Amino acid sequence: MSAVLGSERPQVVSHVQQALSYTVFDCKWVPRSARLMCLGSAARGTGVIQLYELRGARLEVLREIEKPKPIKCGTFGATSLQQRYLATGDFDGNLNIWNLEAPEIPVYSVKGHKEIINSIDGVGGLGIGEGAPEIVTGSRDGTVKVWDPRQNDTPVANMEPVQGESKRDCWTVAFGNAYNQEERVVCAGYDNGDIKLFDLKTMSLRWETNIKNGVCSVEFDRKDINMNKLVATSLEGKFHVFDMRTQHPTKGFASVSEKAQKSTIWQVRHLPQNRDIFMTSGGSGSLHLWKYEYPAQRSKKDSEGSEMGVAGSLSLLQNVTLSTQPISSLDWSPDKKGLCVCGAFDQTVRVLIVTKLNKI
Amino acid sequence: MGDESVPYFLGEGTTKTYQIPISHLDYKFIEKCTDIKHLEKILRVLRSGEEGCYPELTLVCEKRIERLDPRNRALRKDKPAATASDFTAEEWFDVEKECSKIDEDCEESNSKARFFSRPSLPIIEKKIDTTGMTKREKIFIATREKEKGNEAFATGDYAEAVTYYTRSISVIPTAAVYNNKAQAEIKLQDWDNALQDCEKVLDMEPGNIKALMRRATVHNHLQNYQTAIEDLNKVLSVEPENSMAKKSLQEIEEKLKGLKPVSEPQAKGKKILIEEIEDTEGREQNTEECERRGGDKREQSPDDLSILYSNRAACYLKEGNCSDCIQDCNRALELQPFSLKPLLRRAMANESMERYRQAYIDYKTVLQIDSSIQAANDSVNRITKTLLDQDGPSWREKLPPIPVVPVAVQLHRWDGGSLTSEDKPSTIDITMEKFKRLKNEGNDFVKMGKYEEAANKYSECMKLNTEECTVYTNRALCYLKLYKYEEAKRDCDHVLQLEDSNIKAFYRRALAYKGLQVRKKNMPGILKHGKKITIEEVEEGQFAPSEDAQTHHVAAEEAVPKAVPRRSSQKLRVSEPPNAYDFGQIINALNANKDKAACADLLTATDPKTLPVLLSNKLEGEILLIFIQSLEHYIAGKDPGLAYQHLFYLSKAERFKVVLALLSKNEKEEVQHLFDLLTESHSDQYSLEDLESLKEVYEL
Repeated sequence: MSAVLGSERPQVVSHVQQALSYTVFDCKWVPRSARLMCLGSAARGTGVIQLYELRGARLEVLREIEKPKPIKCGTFGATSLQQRYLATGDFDGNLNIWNLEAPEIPVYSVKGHKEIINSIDGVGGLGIGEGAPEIVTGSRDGTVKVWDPRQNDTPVANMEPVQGESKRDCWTVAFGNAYNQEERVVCAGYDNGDIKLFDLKTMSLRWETNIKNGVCSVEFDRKDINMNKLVATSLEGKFHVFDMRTQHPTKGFASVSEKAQKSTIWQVRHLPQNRDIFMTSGGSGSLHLWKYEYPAQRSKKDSEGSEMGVAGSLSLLQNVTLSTQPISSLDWSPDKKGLCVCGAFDQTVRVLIVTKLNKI
Repeated sequence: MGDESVPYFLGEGTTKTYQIPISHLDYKFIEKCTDIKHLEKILRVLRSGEEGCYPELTLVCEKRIERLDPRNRALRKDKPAATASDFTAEEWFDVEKECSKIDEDCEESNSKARFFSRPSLPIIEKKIDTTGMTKREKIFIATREKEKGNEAFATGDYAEAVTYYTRSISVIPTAAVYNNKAQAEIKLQDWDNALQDCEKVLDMEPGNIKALMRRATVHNHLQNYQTAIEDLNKVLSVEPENSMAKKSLQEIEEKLKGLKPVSEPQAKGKKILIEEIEDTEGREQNTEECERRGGDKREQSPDDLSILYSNRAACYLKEGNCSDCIQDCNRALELQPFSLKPLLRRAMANESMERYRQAYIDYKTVLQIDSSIQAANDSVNRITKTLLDQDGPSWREKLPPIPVVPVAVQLHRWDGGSLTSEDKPSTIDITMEKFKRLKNEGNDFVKMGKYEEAANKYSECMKLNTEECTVYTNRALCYLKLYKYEEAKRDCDHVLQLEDSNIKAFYRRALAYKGLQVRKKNMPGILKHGKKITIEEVEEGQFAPSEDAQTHHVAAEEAVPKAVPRRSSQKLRVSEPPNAYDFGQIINALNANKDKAACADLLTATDPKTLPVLLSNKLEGEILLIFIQSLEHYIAGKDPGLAYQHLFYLSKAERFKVVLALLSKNEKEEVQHLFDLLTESHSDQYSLEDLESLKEVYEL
């Protein structure tokens, strides 16, 4: 341990641990603050939204809101920095947007899916991503829907399997490529290992692949740039990093894969301040901090003369084991580099500090 | 203990999983094994504890794997999160600090990745609409765009990086982002924009090292080597150890050396002129020393610093190092705008480098300050012609604007800021100016050894102002040199009437009396101040440099006794001169006195072989003559061999042929005479044939 400490490698410091009385599914930093949200399910089968504030080495509850249905996921991605409305997806397939100052009734509500909303993502808010604010939800009912919070009841886009095709459980969704007013893509991962990339500009399926194991989490390194990299994690402890800059007509995107551990990788989250560093959280209660290193040449010509991408390499910067239970959610603070929160199934939320990220 | 080729030895089993022979779970085996897969298996068995718990052995096995494959997955162990107890006090503090500055500027890392921009660059808005945003939002967005730029830069997408930096700047312009943008533009070889951005950074943060370095790079590529050097020097003055700056500086200077020599001889005549106008420092110190003196400049006040730079510039100019000269002039001018000497020197250096426009501007500026500088007037005429040839009748349009010199500065002259700064020069001032000019000219003549002309100048001075003692003492000195003791005495008397304790006057009158063989008469006077004189002599020797650096017009007066060898110290002590510069100084001194005996000493002390080196290109008719004469009178008799050697190597010196061709008939005869002498006296160092062939070289 001491040898590691002396080196220039980042350290993961467990700053605060907070035991919870409910199962936490998601936790999120409130933008431009030292506050964070914990979303989950209480023992009696209701949903819980808790707002905590980080005060020194303590987390203090500022507000606790109880809702009828357990809440699976949430995002601030489609709200303005001033409003900071939280969008949530619950076990019943409802998409709600809450004003945390007045959380009694949602500012926007729609019964989006027939079954649980597993994953939610937002873009166009917080100064991240050009164009209209949009929310994407992925559900067990097999559909992926894009919502504009300014438009009630109907999604602006609905990606569902064609008639006759079996429905797959969508476990994860993510926005990307939102570098100007028109461009925008949604990436979705399914329980059978499918990854699909939907182009919202052309309303078409741009690319799909299968990584053999259920896709637990996908994320672009940044949402608001010409899409650069995509990380997809899987049930069997493997994750793939795709270079999304160069799409080969037949081979698609080049990728590199790495096995972090034996157990499921539940989450991947890129450091907001450096897109080439990301953390994965594992089923064995461990966290792995990775760095992607670009190859000398990111693309090359194949024998037929079409461009194909070249994947880079991955290096493990640090790994820690925090819990015996899976860490199901992870979120970097958008404001403080290195500040991180994670929620685990041992009903604990932890605030972590990752040091020396500047020196990488 | 069994050999691995003999598995399943009696009594030995295998492990349950993988069926590894038990003997492989052994220090020696693990140390030797190179099969990583096998080692991994061993490690797994050891870790599982199914064959027993051997922590030491497990450690050895891990180390072995690490040595063979440092990134092996088997080495990844579950680790708890770090806590305060894992850190030493210092490290923990470090963590806190780390957290506190967590959002501090993260500088872009230089990327190794290099690849070419893709053909179809995505269209990204260059501006971000910030209407209705709060300040914090703006900061957030500006930071984010900057980070995106940094990342794009790190992967080599420089065009993309520039776009994001531009976006960041459109929200909140900061020096750091401009700086990064400049770097990206350098990578894209977009020099113009890079230059603009560097300048913006320097507007916001003057002295920003990175911006200076980058601007230097841009200037280097735009072939503005001078400005590049200037920037690099600024960097080095703050960070003397900056190896990048040193390296590029060296490169640029090498480039410059390749460009320079063509135009140098042209500027030469004029170069001598300026050196004679005021460079007293060059007389007592060689240029290197002078540079060193300029080197420890930090404690100085801006004025002193400016003068030091200006002086060093003069040294560089003499060395022919025009680029450094310009640079020092620039610095001097930064500290003291519109000071005359640096302007003049920069002009000369520019002219030498054939940068006529810049030179023209500087000369014009000089003339605004003082229209009477002949060198500047001449040069302006010369450059006008050159530029007319080069650019045709519209040459003026291509000139950069000539800076307007404030009226107050126009009166500041050689003497630094000692003059009045009235708006309009009155007649008194004009006479003062004239007086000073004449006096300076006189001083210059003294330094050149032209005492008669100097005396005339001083006399003219006296017509304007009879009160100024220095002029009289100076003229007295001239008269002493000219052996006009009577006149010298008269001048000293005049001074002593005005100032009854003027030591120089006493001293010079003493010399005059000495010349007149009436030494005794002045004894009381000189004794009274005898002690002071010695002090003064010492002072001259020690403090003259700093005086020179500050006020040249006073220094010129002081410098006179030094420019010419100190006669007072009787005979010149001659030792072997270490370098060409010292040698030149001694020769000049000897030549001024026609001191053949000392010259003979010098030649005796000097190794003939080094003569061409020591003389470098300074061989003149007068020098040749004094050499011949001293060889003839003092050496040929005693040591004909040495005389021959000297003659031989003298003929190898630069400019020898030219000087020889210019010798007058009488002088030729002197040479002939020397050869005759050598023919008469024999030596084993040369044969008659040698002498004959040498004679041919001397065209006899």
